[in-house]
Amino acid sequence: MRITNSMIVSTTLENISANARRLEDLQNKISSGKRVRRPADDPVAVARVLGLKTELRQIEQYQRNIEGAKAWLQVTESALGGVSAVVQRARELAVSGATETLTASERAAIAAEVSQLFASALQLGNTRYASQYVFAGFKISTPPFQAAANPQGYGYQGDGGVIKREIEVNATIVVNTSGQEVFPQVLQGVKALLDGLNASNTAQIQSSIGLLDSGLEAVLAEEAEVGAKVNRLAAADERLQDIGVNVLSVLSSTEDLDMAKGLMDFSAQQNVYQASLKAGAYAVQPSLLDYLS
Amino acid sequence: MSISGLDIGLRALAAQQQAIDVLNHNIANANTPGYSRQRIHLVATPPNLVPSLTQMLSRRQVGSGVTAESVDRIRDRFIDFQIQTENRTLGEAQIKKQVYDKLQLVFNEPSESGINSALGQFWGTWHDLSSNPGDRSARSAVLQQALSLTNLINRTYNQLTTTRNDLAAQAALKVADVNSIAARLANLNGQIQRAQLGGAKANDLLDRRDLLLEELSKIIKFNYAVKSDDTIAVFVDGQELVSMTSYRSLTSSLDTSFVLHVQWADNLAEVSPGGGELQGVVTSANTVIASQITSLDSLALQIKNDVNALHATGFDLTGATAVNFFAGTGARDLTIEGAIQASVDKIAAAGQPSAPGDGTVALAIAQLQHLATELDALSELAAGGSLPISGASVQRILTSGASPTTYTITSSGANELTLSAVIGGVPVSQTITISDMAANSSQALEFSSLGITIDLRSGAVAATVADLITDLTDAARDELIVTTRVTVDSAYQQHVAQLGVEARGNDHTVLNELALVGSLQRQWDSISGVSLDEEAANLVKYQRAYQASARVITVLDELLEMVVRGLGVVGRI
Repeated sequence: MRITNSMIVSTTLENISANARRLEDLQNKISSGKRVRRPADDPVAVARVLGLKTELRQIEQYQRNIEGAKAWLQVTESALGGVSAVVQRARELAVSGATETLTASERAAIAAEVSQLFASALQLGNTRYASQYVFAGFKISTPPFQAAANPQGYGYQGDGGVIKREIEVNATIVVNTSGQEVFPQVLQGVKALLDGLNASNTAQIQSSIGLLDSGLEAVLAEEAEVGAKVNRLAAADERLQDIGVNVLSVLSSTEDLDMAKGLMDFSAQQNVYQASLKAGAYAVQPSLLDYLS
Repeated sequence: MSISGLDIGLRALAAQQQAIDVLNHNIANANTPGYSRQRIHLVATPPNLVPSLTQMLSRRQVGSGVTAESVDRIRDRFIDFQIQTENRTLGEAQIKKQVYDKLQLVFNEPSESGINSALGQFWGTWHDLSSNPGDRSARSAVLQQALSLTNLINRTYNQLTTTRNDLAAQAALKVADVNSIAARLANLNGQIQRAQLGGAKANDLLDRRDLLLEELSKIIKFNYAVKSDDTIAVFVDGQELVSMTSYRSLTSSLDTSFVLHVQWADNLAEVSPGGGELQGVVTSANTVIASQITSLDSLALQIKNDVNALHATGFDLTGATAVNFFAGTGARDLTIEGAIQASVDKIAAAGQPSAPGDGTVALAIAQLQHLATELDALSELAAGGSLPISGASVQRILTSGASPTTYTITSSGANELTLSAVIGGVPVSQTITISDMAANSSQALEFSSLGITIDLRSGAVAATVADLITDLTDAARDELIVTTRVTVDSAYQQHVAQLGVEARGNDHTVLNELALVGSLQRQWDSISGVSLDEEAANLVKYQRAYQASARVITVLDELLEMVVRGLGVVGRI
């Protein structure tokens, strides 16, 4: 096969340019640190990278949701702790108030304290977290419990709304305890005690103990549930943390360049490039004309 | 020996000189693009007939020297044809590569500033809103992130249309190139015809014409026929582009539906380029970018419809309901409703009025990220087993392109259903078993290898397998357009992956074609290229021959001198 000068030049050029192209590609990968920079580099990997990034963002969001839910629940828990203290004190007072032998002034003193306990319970019912009333159901911007001159002694302006937060894909948790769940029983018991004391009705005082007992039971049960939820959130958070680490590592292995390999490839490719330059220089030079006299 | 010997010498000198002229021409044009080497064709001149002194009828044939009969160019038509074919493919693929590279820049994935990231942040703000429905800053964040997302989608759309307009401009340039080449070809036809009137080949003009044809082959597909007088007629899309010294022009235009056309300039008839850069431009504008725009539109609409459907069921801070969140008709004008932009209180986060702590609707919207949207084309089985499948109830069509895929349901056994379709040119089908349905129950028919799930819901009456099969395979309804469960995010991710696959395939085509064209060029060079070594060696050959002929003439001259001076001077002193 005839070989002409322009063939030699064209082959040399083509090889040099192919090597330069590979060199440039490697250089881009190294300087960006990424193995895939655009969809054509590896379409399957890019789709996976996009999905993983979305998942990472979701995990961060869920962790944020968990933080918020935990704070809400913790506020609820400590408020409920206060309520159970109130109920227990009221029960003690009920027991001592049921004694037949109390004087009117003694009874009045107890009634005064019970009245304070009632106000305390109402105040606890109006606990706030980040300017939201936690026991108001959905009506979080107005205080749910108001003292009133009616038979129950208070009015409830909240509702029974259930506030849910999503803490993982398709997993939601109810974060609130509405004021309709535990407080009515507690307040009923305390009011009954107060009424009984004010009316010096021992039978009523006696029966209020039963109400207070069931109120306490309700509070403790609710406290336990809230505590369990807090634990569940802690576990979910930890799980999300682990998942997040795994996702991040898969993302990195898909998207990032193995620096050591990349640098080695680059150095090897540089050698190839230089060799093709040298070979080209030698091939192109001589011709018969140099040797004819 | 006679004076004719000098003639032979003279002829020889002339012939060798011409040979060296041809060599000179070759060496001078060693680097001229498209130049094919020329060779002198030396032929012995017809012999002289010298009568014999000893025989009656025979005559001796005495050679009379050499002459240069023709100068031929060394060229292989077949290689030319192959180069033209591969150039065409290369040109088309190179144009498409430019477009795909641009598209990948437009979408800019994977990155933190692409649509994937914007979507993720958008859903995140709805989560934060559902935790703090009354908080104005959470509402502001929803609005701002939504505006970010819609702006990004608008901008992407605009970049796609700009790219399409750029392609229209490029088409005009390519068409101008074709017209210019056609004009020059027509001109050359005339020149070649005139130059070859004397019978000799117009080698350099032919070379120039072949080079023009090679240039043209990169731009558009053509056929050509060489006539007996070496003029050519060039045909594009079956019609004459160049014929003798006349030619037709092409033109291009973008019509009102933004479809790019290539047409004949004189009668505006449609031209199908058939290959080359023009075809690359037309395909990129009318297929590649058009389908990108369609996909972006359907993404925008899916976001808008899915969010609006939920948002309208919610209540805002003023207690109003049935308000939309997104407005617009597609990717170009997708935006947030003006009322919401004016006041973030109007974002409907709550599931009931006057419930500032209620974020259930906001949560539902946030969950769109992983909850595939409910199929709207649910088929209900009423009493007696009738199955109202109607086109009107279908909202989204499975597409990876402009046209929907249609599916066919058949039954092969007592409780089996087969779903078949042609996806991407490949026929696929899957057979599953189905079971009886009680009243008010649901059954999902999962055709995983086709990516389809058909939800069936029964009404007040139970349906047996026989009922289901009868209705689903009813001949009157055996074409079913179905929807698939796909989230907005994963639809977008699949779209990006698809773009990557197409771009990568095209990149490979470009690299392969470059190598192929390079190899063919070298083959051409091997046949028609000038080798300086070869010319140098031949130079020596002809130079020596010239020197030898000159020497012979000198010898003859001396001999003749002897005759002229020496004969017939006997006795003269």
